[in-house]
Amino acid sequence: MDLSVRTSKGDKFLRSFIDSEKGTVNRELYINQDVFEQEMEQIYRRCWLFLGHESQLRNPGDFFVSRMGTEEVLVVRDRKDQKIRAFLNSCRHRGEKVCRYDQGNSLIFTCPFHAWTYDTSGRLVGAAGQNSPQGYAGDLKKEDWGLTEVAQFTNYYGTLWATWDKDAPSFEDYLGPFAESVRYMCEGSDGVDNGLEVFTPFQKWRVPTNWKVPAFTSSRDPEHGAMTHRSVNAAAIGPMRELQGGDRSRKRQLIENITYVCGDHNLGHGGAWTKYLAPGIAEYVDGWYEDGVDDYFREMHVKKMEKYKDRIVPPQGHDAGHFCVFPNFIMDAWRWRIWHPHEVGVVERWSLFGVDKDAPKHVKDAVRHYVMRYNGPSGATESDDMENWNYVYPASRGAVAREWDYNFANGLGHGFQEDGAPGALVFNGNRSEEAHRARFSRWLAFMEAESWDDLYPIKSDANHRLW
Amino acid sequence: MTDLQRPKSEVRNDFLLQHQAAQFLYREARLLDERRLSDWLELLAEDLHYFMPLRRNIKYGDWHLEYSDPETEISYFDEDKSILTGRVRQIETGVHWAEEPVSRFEHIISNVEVTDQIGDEIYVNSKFYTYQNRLADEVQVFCGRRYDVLRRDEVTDFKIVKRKILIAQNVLLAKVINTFF
Amino acid sequence: MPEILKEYDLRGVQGAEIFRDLTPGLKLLLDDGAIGSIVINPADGCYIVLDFTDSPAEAGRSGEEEIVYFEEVVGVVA
Repeated sequence: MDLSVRTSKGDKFLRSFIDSEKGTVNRELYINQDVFEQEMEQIYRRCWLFLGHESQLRNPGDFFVSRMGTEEVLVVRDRKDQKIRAFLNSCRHRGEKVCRYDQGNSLIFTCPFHAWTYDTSGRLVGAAGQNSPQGYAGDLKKEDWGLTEVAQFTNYYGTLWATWDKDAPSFEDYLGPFAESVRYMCEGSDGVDNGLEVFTPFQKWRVPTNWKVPAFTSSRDPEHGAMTHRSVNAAAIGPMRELQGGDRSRKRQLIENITYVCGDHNLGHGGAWTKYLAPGIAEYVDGWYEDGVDDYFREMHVKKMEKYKDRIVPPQGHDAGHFCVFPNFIMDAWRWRIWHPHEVGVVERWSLFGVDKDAPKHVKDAVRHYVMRYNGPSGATESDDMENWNYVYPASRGAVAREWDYNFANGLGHGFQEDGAPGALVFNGNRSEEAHRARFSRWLAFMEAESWDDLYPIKSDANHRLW
Repeated sequence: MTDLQRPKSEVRNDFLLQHQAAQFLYREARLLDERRLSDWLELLAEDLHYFMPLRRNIKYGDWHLEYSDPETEISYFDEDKSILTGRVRQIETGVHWAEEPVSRFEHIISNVEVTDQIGDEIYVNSKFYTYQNRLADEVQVFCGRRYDVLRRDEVTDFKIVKRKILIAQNVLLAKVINTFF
Repeated sequence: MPEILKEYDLRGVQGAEIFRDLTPGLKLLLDDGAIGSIVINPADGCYIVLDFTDSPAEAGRSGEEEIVYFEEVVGVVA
């Protein structure tokens, strides 16, 4: 399907906005209302999207409200079978939100409009007038009017994901070569799978920009760091605070490796990719300001070293991964960033932060205070990102500005595919924009696809690679 | 923190104390607006706890869920004077893009109410309406309440020992918070 | 007709609060004549879960437990 959109100069095909030879993308894709609406249909109705973490739903009846694109979903652990399910937060009667609380524990979810009420498995269990002889008179077939459930749902090592498309591949297939990265990021610091819990609640705030500005190009964007975050060492917000000259990252010692930026041009995921040249994990390096925190992590690290002593560490390496799961989820180690589109020029950012679920309080406190200083609208590091991502939008949408292309050419032509590397992973220099280009390869594939049949399984000769 | 319906009469009727507390808070707001951030830091006690929780949408009665818990949860601010000092240093680099060019802030403080006095510390509630205008046309409004503990000080009249800031927003509608409340 | 307890005025100005705070074990009379005892009160002020195992057969309530909307509740009975 060749989708076109209306622009100030008439209809244009989406493909015409991307110049794969020059490595450019026209600004129209970020500011055009038609593009945005087609994205919600073609991408957000089909992709696997991040909802939250199982530790937010410890008890039967626990719920929280999350988002899938522009729409709210209710994520709830059923009281009877204890399974977690996700539903569109919209009453089947007139569409009002059935849950207007951010989180809690509930027996039922009752719409405040006409009292249609649903149990924790999404079944309609009551409605005003259901038994009234003057009303439904018992005719309301409750079994047909349950909440709209996502088509597929998965709990992947504690992280919760869903898609509205029953034809989407399994989540693991959707991730492809990055499945191992997601699994690895959910390990505890002792190397045990699904070893994390998250700090509640979600951080939530609005940024007036197009969702793709941060979601497509923040992982990995190696050249922004030195400039955008020029000031942050002054704030000394890192785990070691002023002890390390304010450096916001914890120092690590690594096994010999080559660092790449890697983009999967078939599946759209990508970011940092560290290729370890020898098995094992290096010794722990102290890196925390607060007393006793290094003692804990050093002890956990020994267990992780034991697990990986004869194994090559996955490409996200140690606790330092940074990559994007297409379309809008950034996994920066245990700092998880979700970019929910709201309007063409407004994105709502949610964050969650992981920590070892069995860590003692003083360790959890140190990690928590670190992520608060670093992240979010009041985070000394992230606040500078917001400024740049924000002003990209108004400075790009004028009648003149929109005619000019963004430059995504950093490293163009220098990428390579390694023998034995799965799928369409393209490796490139660790300061390149390879992952951004991969995102646009996948973006165009989604926008042009009639259905998942055109998107998966990826045929060996059907590389969507644009560049 | 005492939050009585009606403060003790010796506090409620102490016009001088009410006046001193209000004047201190107005002066603090002025220092922020005049970008005298280093001077503002002088008003903070060394043992300050500066806390601004996130706010949830909750069911009536679920009050314990409304504000993020400073012991276990994520907040906007949950820090001491050393971190705030770092934030000021960051602004003063001139390359902290979130606050560069610098904003035009007006911190309006009102509803000042001294609610208790224990030893050399007083408990003061107030409201803030912080207007931010920056670059050509960017406007943000932050509105909320504060619960402070102030300690008597010979040089600055008071030092801020505890500050709890409750902003009247759920999803923060501003892209960043680059001032202090 | 069982006696309706006056101390639970479900139709008065405090009806929503009284309904919200009804405790498990209390018996409720419904507008179709059924009587159920409270199993769980979700305390949302709108719905309540009742056990109808001891309800008069002619009332025709099926199932042992059912969720009931406040409008169908006539009152609390002894």
